[in-house]
Amino acid sequence: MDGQYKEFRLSEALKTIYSLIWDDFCSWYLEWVKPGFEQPIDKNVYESTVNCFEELMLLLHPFMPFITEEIYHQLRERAAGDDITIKLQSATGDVDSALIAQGQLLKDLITGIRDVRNKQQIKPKETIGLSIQTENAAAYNELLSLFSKQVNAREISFVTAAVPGTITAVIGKDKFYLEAEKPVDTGNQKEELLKELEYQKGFLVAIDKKLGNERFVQNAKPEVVELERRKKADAEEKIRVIEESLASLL
Amino acid sequence: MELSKNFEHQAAESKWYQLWLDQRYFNSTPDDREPYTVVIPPPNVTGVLHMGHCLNNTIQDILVRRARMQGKNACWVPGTDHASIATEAKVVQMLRERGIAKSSLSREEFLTYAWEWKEKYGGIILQQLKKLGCSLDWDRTHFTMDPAYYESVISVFIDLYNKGYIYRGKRMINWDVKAKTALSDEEVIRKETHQKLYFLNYKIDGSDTETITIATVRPETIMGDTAICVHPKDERYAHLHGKFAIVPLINRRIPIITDDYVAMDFGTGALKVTPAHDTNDYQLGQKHGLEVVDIFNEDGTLNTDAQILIGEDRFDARKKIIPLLEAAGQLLKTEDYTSEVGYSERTDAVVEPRLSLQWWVDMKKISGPALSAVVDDEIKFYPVKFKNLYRHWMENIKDWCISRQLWWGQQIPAWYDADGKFVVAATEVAAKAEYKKQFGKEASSLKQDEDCLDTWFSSWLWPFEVFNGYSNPGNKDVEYYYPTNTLVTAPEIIFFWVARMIMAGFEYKQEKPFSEVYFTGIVRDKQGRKMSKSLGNSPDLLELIDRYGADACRFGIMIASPAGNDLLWDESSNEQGRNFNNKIWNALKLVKIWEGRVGSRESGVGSRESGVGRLCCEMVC
Repeated sequence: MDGQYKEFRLSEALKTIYSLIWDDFCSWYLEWVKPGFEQPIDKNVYESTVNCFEELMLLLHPFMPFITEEIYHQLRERAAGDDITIKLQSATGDVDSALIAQGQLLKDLITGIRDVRNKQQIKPKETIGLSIQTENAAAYNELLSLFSKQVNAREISFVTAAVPGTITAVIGKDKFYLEAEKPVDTGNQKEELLKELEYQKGFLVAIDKKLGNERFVQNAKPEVVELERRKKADAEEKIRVIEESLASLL
Repeated sequence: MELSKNFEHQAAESKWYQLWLDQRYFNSTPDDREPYTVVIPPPNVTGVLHMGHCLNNTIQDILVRRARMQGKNACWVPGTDHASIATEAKVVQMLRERGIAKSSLSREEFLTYAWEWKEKYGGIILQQLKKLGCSLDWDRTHFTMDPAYYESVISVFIDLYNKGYIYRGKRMINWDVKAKTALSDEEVIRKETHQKLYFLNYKIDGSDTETITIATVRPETIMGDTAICVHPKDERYAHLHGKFAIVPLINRRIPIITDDYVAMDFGTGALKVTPAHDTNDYQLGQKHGLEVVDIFNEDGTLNTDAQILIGEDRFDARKKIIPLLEAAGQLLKTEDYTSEVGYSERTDAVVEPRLSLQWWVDMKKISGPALSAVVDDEIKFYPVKFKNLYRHWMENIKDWCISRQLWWGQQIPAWYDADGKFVVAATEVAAKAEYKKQFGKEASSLKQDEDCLDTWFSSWLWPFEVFNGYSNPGNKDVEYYYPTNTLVTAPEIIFFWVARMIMAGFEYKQEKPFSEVYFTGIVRDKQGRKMSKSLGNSPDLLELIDRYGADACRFGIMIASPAGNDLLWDESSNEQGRNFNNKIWNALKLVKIWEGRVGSRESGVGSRESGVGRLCCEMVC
């Protein structure tokens, strides 16, 4: 955001804070830390929630001074003269990119599994069994308790091969096998995978076309071209995983 | 305490603004910290807040509040300018409603009314800025007609006069017939206007049948014609060189002259020359020693020199002269024609070129450092496209007409004797001494120039004079706060104000007035039209603040404003802002419910989750 301020891209800075508060904080974070019905909240969790809220208000304050001052005072008892207007924003620290990657992974996982649940018409109250086939199980360790709560999983285990009689989902490069309380129709699932396969193949064709266009490759910025190449590799990887899953269904 | 259902903005706004004032958070004094200084573009003293102000001042407040939260000594200086022409027009209007004509009042009486008006309505706009939440240092409020500021403006005039940068000269100026004052070129807005081109036959003197045809969009000015000009190489008219033509209706005999200035392919290739009413004709007249016949009064009606249609307004006269010409058999034909016409920025009257004795600043003498400062990025423009515009204007700069035939403003410090000889001095006493020095005799009586100075001639001192940097050079404040950091302004005033502030800064502080200039976009409605009172598409900002809250209005204008581009605003952005308020408020309510349920347990899960929580705060940085 420093850069956005420096270049007077204040509208973008505001959009960044807006999505941080609305999406990341309200829609994700508060959901993740929400204690169960009438359950106590962990003291550390509560403290860090208030800290985080406060930090966000500091960022928003220049844009919306009144509500941020009000929230600042609602969050904690403040001594006279402790007001957000004169509070120093903390200096920009180094970004913990590993942490951010984890947060993003968690969001993708939750979105992905919820998506499958919806498509398979599994009711929110029904629990699922979840098996993960991955080469990098360590990446999930830290996230498991939150993850299982958010997707309402009874248990999560790691496997090295397809689990028969389950629903397969592909998120990133990993495969997820969902086991519902009621048996599901594999025909339906096969159809889903085929649809996804068709989409990915279409996507790949489009990218190939773009990268085959000499004018694009020569004139576009290198980072743009690089992004397209990465998209292509991702699509190829996904197609491989889906084809494997399809094979295991037969 | 039970939290309200939604964020109650009205209570919060008055509570917190008052607390901020009581705690003097916006007041700045020099100290060891790095300063961050912004001077407000002074709004018109009698103005009211509109969407453009909302955008401009929200941006400034964001920058200033952020600087304050970064530990800088933030100082944002408020104030208003006296807006000579706009305010005087309003006072004249107010007097008219009370049945008082300006012409029946003396200067002093008029100014008493004007000050009354200023006391009554001036400062409303500053109160409105408080509603918007602006963190201005109110102790530093300035007004361009404050006594000290007034004196500085006069002193700058005298200084520039003594340096030979200011002169008095009779030149063609832009005349506003409604406000009855001269305008600078920048105060004239050129608009494409549909007109008619009239082809008129002038008889040749000494011939019963021969005529020469000219084409004009202003047939009502033919009574001011003092020549007809053709191109020397135009063979169609070679046989007429040295002859005379007769102006229709009034039968004045005028010479047919030649000059290669005439475009052979425009109209008929024969040009009527009216030195009193056209800038180019005036120059042509000067060159050929032509007579100047001014047929207009200062309000744009025809005077006795016109001989016919006396007392008619210029546009009525244009309509009425056509049948007369037709009846005389001298109107050949009429064609539709579109060309650019100048309109007064303030009154929207069609500007009349007029020969007039005015005061001027010789801009070539003062603009050099101001050009290179921007070209060399000593002062940075955002967006950068304005740099070229600025450069082009500065490289082709014309002299600045600074006298206005108005009373509300700094009265020009020139003093005249009965013969019209004059001296420049701040007071009558000083003028008398100067007179004696210059002319070697006592002045019997001296009369001060009736005119006042262009408002921009006072606001160009703004960045240093708000710190008394001219009147009290070297004082602690100006040393600390000047040069200021950021100027946030509208692109429309890049020449009026920005360029001239840079000139004054280098002239009087030998230093730039600010390090960066951010030009905001123009606020438009969702159909892309500029907001204006006459279109009725300019919402009442205070009413919006009442309804949605200041935060939501600030959000609404900022979310819609891509850097430097025009922004299309509509009320739904304010709704989005209000929804955002409520989202935050609901999050607070949720957290407050948890507050009562904090367990004593400090589990390992907590730290893991708070790790993920830190993510939110990290992502922005």
